[in-house]
Amino acid sequence: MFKKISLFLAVALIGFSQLSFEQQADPGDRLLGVWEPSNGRARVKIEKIGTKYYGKIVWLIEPIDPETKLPKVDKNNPDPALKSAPLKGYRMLKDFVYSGKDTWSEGTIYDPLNGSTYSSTIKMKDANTLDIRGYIGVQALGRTDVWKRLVVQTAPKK
Amino acid sequence: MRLTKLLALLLPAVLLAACSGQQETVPIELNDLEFTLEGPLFEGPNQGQYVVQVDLPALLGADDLEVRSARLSSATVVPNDSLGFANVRSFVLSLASDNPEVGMVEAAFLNPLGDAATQAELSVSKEADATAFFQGSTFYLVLDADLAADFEGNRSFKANLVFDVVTK
Repeated sequence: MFKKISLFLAVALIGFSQLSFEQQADPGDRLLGVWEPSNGRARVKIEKIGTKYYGKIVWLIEPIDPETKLPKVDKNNPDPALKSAPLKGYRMLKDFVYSGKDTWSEGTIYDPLNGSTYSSTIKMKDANTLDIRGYIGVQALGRTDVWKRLVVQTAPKK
Repeated sequence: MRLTKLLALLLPAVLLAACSGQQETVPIELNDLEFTLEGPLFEGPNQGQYVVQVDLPALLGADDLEVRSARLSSATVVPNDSLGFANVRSFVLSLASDNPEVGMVEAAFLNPLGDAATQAELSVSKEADATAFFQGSTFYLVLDADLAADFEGNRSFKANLVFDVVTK
């Protein structure tokens, strides 16, 4: 009898701990990782700060400015003080909040080519594909880009 | 007639004084803020975070003051481990909040850091408005260090910041 109760308690505890773990996993965290825009010219790492999601440039196909021969800086930033900030590391996605149904909203996307910032929403089409929409005012006035998750290839075991 | 003219001149001045009265700029110093970049770290930008609990009475030394505006006025970063600034190319300091109404701002940066640097005086953005961060209960300071090489372990830095806070 005592063994049966112990076994029941053990199973119940395991079940409870699994439930707690599943409850702690934030569905919004599926967005975390390294993503590549459709033009393939940059890679963006999405991280979480507090409860919101941010994406910074971690790789550029052309990291060196051909004019200055130095690492590229954010020369189109509208804030004069930030024009010499490094482009690599710049957070081009900011302040996204998971709003359910595979969608992150309330965010902004920055285009370093023209220094403009747009309202933005992210829709996860599947685990490795995002539709990122930048728009001005209403969502109808915007453009969507497809980003792919950068999947790390592990070498086969010999 | 003279009295009317005098009143017309005095009234805006009196109103202006009444509206602006008792505003005061208080420098709030946040010192020895520790930022740990958790390894393994890869070449490129890596971040450390510090959570600021906004306790205005403690920061301002009075219970009944409101924050009217706030701005970062100086930011200094020093190494907090034996690695110093080895292979650190640049720093960027940003402010972030959980409040959906408050967007992240880049407040200061230094690029490039310079090989012989023992402390980093960051350039502060005059356009970075920190008011909303001091009007909430918590905000995040994010320090990004652009590393020139991979590191197995952690890197640690300390920051000393001064915010100019206008109160009423």
